[in-house]
Amino acid sequence: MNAQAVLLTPWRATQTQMRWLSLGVLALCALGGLGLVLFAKHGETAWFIAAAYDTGLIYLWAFFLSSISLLAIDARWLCIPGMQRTAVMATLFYAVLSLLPTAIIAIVHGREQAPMLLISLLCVLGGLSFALLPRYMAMFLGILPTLFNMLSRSYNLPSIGDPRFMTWGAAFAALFAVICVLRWRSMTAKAPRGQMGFSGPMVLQYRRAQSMGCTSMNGVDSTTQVRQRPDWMQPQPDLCHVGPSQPDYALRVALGGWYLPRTLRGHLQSLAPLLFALLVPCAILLLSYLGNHALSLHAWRPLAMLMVGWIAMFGSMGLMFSTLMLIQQRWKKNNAELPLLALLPGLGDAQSSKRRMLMVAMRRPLVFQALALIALLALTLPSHPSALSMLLLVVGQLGCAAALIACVISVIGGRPLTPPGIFSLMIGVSLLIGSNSFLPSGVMGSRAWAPPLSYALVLLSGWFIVGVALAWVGRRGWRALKTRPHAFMPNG
Amino acid sequence: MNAVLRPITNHHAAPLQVRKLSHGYEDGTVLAGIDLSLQPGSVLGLIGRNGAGKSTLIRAMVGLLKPDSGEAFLFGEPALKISDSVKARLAYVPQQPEALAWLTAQQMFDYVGRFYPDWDASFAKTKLREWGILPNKVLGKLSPGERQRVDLIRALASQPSLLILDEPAAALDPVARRDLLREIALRAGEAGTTVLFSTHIVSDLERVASDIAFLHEGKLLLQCAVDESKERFARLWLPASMSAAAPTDALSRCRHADGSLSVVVERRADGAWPEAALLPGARVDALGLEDLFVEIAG
Repeated sequence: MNAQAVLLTPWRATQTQMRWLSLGVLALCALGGLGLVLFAKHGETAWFIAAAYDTGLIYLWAFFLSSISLLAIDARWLCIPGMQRTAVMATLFYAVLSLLPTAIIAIVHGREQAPMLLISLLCVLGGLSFALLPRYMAMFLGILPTLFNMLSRSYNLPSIGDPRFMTWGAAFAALFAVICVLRWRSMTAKAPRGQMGFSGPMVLQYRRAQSMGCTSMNGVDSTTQVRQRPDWMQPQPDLCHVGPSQPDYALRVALGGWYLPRTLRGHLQSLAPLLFALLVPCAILLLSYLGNHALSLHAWRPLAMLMVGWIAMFGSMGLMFSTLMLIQQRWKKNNAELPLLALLPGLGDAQSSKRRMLMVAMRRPLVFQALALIALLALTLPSHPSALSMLLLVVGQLGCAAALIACVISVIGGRPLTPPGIFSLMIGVSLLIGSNSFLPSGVMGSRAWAPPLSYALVLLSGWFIVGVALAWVGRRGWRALKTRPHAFMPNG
Repeated sequence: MNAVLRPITNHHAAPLQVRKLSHGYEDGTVLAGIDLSLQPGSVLGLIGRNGAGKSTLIRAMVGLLKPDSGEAFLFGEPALKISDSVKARLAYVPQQPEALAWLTAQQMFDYVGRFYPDWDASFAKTKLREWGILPNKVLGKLSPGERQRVDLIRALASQPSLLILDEPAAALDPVARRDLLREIALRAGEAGTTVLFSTHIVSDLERVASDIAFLHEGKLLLQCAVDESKERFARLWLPASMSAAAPTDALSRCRHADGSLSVVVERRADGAWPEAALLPGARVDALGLEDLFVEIAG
C-alpha cells in the first residue's frame, strides 16, 4: 500500500462515465452555491456555500466514492489483502478530505466550525450508508424529509442553531458510522454474486449499471431477475387455459413479466411488495397530515386526487418504457423463448401469429393506458378545466400510447431503435410528461388554472416532433414486419 | 392434449435439406454456399471450431434466421414457413437454453406438452427424476447444466422425428453427457429419429454419430459416414525434396521446420491414394477423427 494507490483508488473503482457524471454534479453544486451566495443576507454566506457543498458530498459518497467498497469486495474475493487495506484507507482518507473544504469555509467566514463539520460528516456517512444498505431501503428515501419533519414535531428534535444539536448530531453520526462499518464487513464477507438481490447493497447495482453503460437499454434479463427474487416472490403462473385452442395465453406465458397469467395467489403475491412499499409512506403522510388538519374527507380529496393523477400520468409512461424493455429483451435472445415459440405447433400460420403476437404484446399495456386516461378525465372534468389543459393531458397520454405501439412494432418487426434512440425517446417523453405534472393539481379544485398559451404551444410542438419520430419508427417497423417470415425471429 | 394439427403433407421428403446456403454478419461471411442433406434415421455430428458457423447454420436450418441466400427445407417445407405438422415432428435445443426462466420444469413441460400430439409426460417425469432435477424449482435458478438437461428432456418428450441439438453436451458433466448420448443412440436406433447435433467434442461424435459434417471457415469441407472417414482420409507426409509434388486439392497443408510437408488427402474414386503417396520417402498415416479434425482445423 502506498499514498499513490490510496489517492487513485476512486478512479480505479469507477468507470469513466461515472467520473464525468460526478464531476458534473459537483460543478452544478458549486454553481448552485455561488448562485446562493449572490442572494444570501450578510452572515448567511458561509451556511449557503456549505449547504451547496454538502449536497454535493451526499451525491459523491452515495454514488461515486462508495464504489471503493466494490474494490474491497473484489480484493477480498481475489485474496489480495493489500488492495483491501488500500480500499479501507482510501475511504477514511477521502472522508477526512471531504471535511476539509467545510473547515476552510467556516474559518474564512469566521463561523463556528463544529456544527458545520458535523453536518458535513453526517452527509458523508449518510451518503455512504445509502450505498451500503440494502436496496429496498432506497424506496423509503423519498419520505425521509416528511419523516424528519414529523419526528421533529413529535420529539422536539433540535435544529442547527439549538445548543442540543451537537449531541443529537454526534449520536446520529455515530449511528451512521456503526451502520457503515457493519455493512462494509458483511458485504465484503459474502460473494458479490449472492448479494445482487433486493436485500443486497445498493452499491452492487452501480457495478451492473456501469458495466452495462448506455449500450444496453434492456434492463436486467429474466434469468437474473428470477435469481434475485426470493422463492416466495416467484410468480405463480396460471396455466389452466394454455393450449393451441387459446394461443394468446400461451404467448402471454412466453412473454413473462407482467403479461404472465397468474393465479389469485400469484396476483396477491406480486402486489404484496408494492402495497407494502406504499403502506409505509402512506402511513407517514397520513400521520403528518393528521398533525396539521382535522380528519375530513373534504381535506383529503385534493391530496388523493393529486396522487391518482400523478400515478395515472407517470404510470402510463412507466408502463410504456417497461413494456418496451421487456419486449426488447425477449426479441434479443436467440436461445430463449423465441426458438420455442417459432417451433411450437398450434400457434397458427406466420401471418396470423404475427397479428396475434402484436395484439398480445400491445393489448394489456394499451388497456391500462386507456384506463389511466379515463381516470384522469374523470378526475379533472368535474372541475371544468380549460380546453388547453385538457388538450395537454390527453396529448400526453396518447403520446405514451403511440410510443408504445410504434416501439413494439419496430421490435417485433426486427427494426428496433438503437440504444441512443431509445435513450433520446426516454428523455423526450419524460420531459414532456414531466412538464405536464402540474396539470392534475392545477385543474382540480374550485379555481381551475389554465397554462399560458406559449407554454402549451411549446409542449405541443415537442409532442409533434416526438410524434413524427414515432411515425417514422412505426412505419419502418411495420414494413419490416410485413417482410419478416414470422414473428419469432430474434433481433440479436 | 388438445393440439389441432393438419395432416403431414410430405412423408417421403428428406428430414433436412440445405441448398447453397450463405450468410454473413457485419464482420464477414459466416456460411458460404452450404449444401447438406440428412437421411431418415441418421445421426449427423456437425463438427467445427468455435466460431466456425455451426450455430448460425443450425438457426438457418430451423428457420430462426433468414439467410442471405440459399434455402433450408424441413420435411420438404421451407424452414422459414414450416407448417404445424412439421413443427410437431421437430425438436430443437439451442446452445445454453434460457427459455421461460419464470416457470418450474414441471410447469414448462405442462405448458409445452399441450401443443405436441405425441407428448410423453411420463418420460419427462421419469427423466427429471433420473437426472436429479427438482421439478418445482424455477428454471432461472437452475445451473446451466441442469437447464440444458431440462430442455433436452423437453425436446425428447415431444417424440420428434427430427432432433436438432446445438452443442447439447457443452454444459453437461461426463455422466449426464453419456446419458444424453445413450438416449440419442436409443432414439435413432429404436424410434428411427433423425438427429443432427453440433459439437467440438470428437469423442461424442465417435460414440453416437453415423455421419459427420465438417464445417470450417464457413464451408462444409466434408460430409461422410464416421467409419468411412477413417478409411477415406489420411495424412500424407512428404520429405522436403518431394514436397513440390504434393496434391493441390489437399484438405490441409502444413509445412514443417525441416522443409517436409504434411497434407490431408482423400482416396480417389478408384480407392487409391493420390500418386504422391507412391513417391520415395512418402508416408501415409491413418487418421482418427480427432487427428483429422486437428489437421484440418488446426
